[in-house]
Amino acid sequence: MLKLRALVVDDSRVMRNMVMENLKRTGLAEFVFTEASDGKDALRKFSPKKFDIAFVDIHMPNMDGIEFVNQARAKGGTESIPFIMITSEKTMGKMTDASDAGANSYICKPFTTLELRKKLVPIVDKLNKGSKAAGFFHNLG
Amino acid sequence: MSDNYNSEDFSAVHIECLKKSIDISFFFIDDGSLKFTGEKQGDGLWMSEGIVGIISLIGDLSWSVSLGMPKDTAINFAKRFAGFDIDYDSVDMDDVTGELINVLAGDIVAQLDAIGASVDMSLPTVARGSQMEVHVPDRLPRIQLHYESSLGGFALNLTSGKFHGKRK
Repeated sequence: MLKLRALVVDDSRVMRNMVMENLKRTGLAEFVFTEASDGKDALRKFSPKKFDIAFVDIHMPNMDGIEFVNQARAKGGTESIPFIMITSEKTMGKMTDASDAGANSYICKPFTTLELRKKLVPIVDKLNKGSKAAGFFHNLG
Repeated sequence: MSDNYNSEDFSAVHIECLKKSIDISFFFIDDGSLKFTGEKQGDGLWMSEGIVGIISLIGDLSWSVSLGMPKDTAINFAKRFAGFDIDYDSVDMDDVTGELINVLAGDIVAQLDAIGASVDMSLPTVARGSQMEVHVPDRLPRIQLHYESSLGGFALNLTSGKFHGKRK
């Protein structure tokens, strides 16, 4: 099974747990999680070599998710890392802001495991192909 | 803001936006028991023991939205929403209450956006206590929507920043 190092950014501990639990339940990969409690914390922990994928809340104190993605992308070397926004804000304006900052996709709260899975299948598939091609496929078998 | 949008107080359109948002955001009450039981105008939100999540919406409208849950409802909602037990007297209960009002407000923002009213939402504030009443200044328009469900009752309190009457 593909092993993915995932950064989960949300100021709510409960929400981070829910995201991690739902990700495990998708069965799409074996996730190894790192948690961050806001954009600033995430930026301290983030390095392109340390993560394969990031799940980022938009609405957070100190530094919001859009600013985090913007600054993380600016570090460079993040082209292969999908940033998935997890948000309660459903307006097109917010989605556009997130996309402009470099987010690849989004999922609206509240969500079910099935909805999360649907959203992630093409992303994980692409990661899987990319990692195989690059020769760093994490096979846990 | 679109020309055909009228932001005077709470119109039927506003109330419909709120009700739709409740139906969408409280999807986890999945047994069909969620029922609107009525609205009250003008009173503060009162609970013998409970927790309140509050968010402000600022933009074309200026609203304060509060979700008030009695203790038992909060415990039941938290378990169903998060998927695990959450102790009422824990920080996690504040967390999940903040998340509930966050999800609800996010949907209200989307509903308002669809009718041409653009607003931004604040971060949530959570308050809890016994014999608790959420007061707002007199003469500000406010409304309460009351709901019942198999997981317990709750109320949504909406206060508009629009001032009624003469300022002193």
